Amino acid sequence: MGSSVKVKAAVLGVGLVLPEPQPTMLPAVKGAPVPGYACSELPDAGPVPARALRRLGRTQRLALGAAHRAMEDCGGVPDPESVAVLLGTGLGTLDETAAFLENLVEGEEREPKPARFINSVHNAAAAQTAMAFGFRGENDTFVHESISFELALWQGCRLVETGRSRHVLAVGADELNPYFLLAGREYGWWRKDSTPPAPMDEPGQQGTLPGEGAAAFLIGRPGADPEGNPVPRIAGIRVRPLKEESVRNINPADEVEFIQGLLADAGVRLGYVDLYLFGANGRAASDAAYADVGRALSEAGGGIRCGVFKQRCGEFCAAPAIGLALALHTVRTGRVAPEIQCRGPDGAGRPVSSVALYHLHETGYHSICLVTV
Amino acid sequence: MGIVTAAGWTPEEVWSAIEGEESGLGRLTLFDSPRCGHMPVAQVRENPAARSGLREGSRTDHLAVYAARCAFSDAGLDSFADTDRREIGVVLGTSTGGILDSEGFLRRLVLEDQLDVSLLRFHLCSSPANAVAGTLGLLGFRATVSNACASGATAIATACGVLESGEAKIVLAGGADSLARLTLNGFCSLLNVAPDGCRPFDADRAGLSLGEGAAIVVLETEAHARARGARIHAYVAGHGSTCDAYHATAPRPDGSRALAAMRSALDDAGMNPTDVDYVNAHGTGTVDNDLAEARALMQLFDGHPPPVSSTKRFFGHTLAAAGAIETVVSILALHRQHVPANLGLRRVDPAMGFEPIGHTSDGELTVAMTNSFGFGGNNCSLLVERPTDDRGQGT
Repeated sequence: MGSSVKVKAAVLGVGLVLPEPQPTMLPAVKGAPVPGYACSELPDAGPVPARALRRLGRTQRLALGAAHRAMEDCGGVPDPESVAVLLGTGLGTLDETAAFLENLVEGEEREPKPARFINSVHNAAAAQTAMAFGFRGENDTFVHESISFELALWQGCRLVETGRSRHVLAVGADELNPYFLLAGREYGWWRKDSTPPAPMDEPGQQGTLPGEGAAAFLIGRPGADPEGNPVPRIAGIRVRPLKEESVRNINPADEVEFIQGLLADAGVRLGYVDLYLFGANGRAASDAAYADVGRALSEAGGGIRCGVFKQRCGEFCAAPAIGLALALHTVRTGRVAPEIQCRGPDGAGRPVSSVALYHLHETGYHSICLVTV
Repeated sequence: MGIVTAAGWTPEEVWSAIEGEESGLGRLTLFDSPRCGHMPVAQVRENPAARSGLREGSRTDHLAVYAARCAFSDAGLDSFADTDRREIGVVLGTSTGGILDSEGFLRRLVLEDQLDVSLLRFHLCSSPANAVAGTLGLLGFRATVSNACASGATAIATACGVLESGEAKIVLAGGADSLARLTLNGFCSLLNVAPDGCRPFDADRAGLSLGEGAAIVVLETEAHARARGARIHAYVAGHGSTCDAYHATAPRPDGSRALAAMRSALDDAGMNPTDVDYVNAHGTGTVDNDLAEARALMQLFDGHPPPVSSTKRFFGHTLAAAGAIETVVSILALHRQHVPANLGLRRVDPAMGFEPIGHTSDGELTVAMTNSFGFGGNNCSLLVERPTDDRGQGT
């Protein structure tokens, strides 16, 4: 079955930085604290000395930690100078930008801090990653809200497929910071209490919780593992704006067509997929839309198995990267990753060799990524 | 093509400034800046909101939408039906998006203890691309790239990939950035802003001058353009991107990765260095950037580069818009058969090894290279080619 699928890229290494499993109360810039999933300790970043790390922004450190873990996972690349870095981040190092501007306003521009400015650029995390590992290939940062990571992965797969890059490190990273917490509270995105959301499992939920984290993936041309280990692969990735203005108005049949389109390009059908991993986060409107799509997929594909993961990491722009890491762990081991909660039929212990990661972004986009072994 | 800079609101106005060698640098009036307000900047003088037709948005959004509308019309797409527009993509570069409004949010919060989150609604960098797509009814592939000062060029390169992969048949690509306290104070804090305006490649250069603007080009495959009878302004013949992996802000001194980006663009185009008739340099006017770029150019062209100029003193350094603006300028140079002046040059730094073009002058131009380099060591080179009689109509 797996032999018929067309493959875009092989995944040679995965690095994951997850926040703490339980939400904690976090300070917003003003007003009441907000519950969220935070990393209590920032990860080790391998070749970057601790003193240099302290001068970096939070998103940079999350990205570096994930990159370090991915490089450890793959055991190195033969030609690091040619590796491209494709990074997706919705907000970049917002804490650094805010700190630079706060200092400007409070001090009437008397003593601006250049290091904060340097860290404030959105490509600071990708640049630091390139410097840390000596990656001198193409280096692009996508900053398109919640589809930033999918765009980076799409571009990474394209570079590998077309031969423009032999290896690509695709990274998704976003930080929690007091401004993000504040904005979400004022816009009514977050739950009021620190109970973890239960996406697609709790009717009428009115909010999600914010989170942070990073995941990195070293990808390259598909090929057999020299030791015969199963090599997880990306069979397709597609990300597009929704036709509808809101996820509330989506037509589930159109979504099935969108998913089928990618699967068809990969040479497979709906039934090929062992697990559909949804980006549902506990917000009522989008959870309902995911449920509608799940039903439509079941009708079209003869029953599907689906799961969710944002009850483990919260919601943030680069969260789809976390979903991809969990999907890859699942196909690598054949067992659903413990961070994924299944909804509907549990598959009765059947091994999982293909996962479709599907996101219906409230910002007006949808994405689908198929991974397999 | 659509373009807006301090030097003009149309390709014709911009080219007129280049022919007349008139710099767009002047006084900053957009906002108060106690520390940096005296530095000359290339500010778009008329409020772009008055011309964009966008109901609400950040200044960057208005600049982007104005340029996109012009490009859309110029490409003959106004008559496209809604259903066809749904297949058109948008790939834009921006470095700060709507930060000017976000600065307003922060000032109110810090100075007045007022929480006005409405000022954050254009903060995300995706706002300009979304504004362009929303205004023109475009529902194809959409992306925003933020590669610092190489963003605009990278957006064009990325859009080429979107077309090659079949994700869209037409893509609006380019870059936009407005002036902001963040960038003005940031570059001032790095002692990178020239008090008397930038002088790229000059022996006495003392830094860059900030500017603002937007440029957008409509890209499509040649077959698609011909099939719909579109006028082809130019071909993107090749693109190449690399990273210095050297320093967060300073370029690799030997220019080796900038050189690699230029070579990669030539390889992509199937061209040799001798095919390049003009180089629109990144040429910011900072000591290190100009020297590293000059070293790369001298190596690429074996010590004899074709005419080279930086046009930064016309428009200022427009950050994420720069690569797109300079792509449009390079295309205009190919059409007009004139090499733009390297404005502000008084005495060439002998360390460059070549003489940039001091005054706008005649040339025989078929292929131009435009370079964009940014913080983080991002390098992107594009090659644009003028349509000749057997390949297209030109303008």
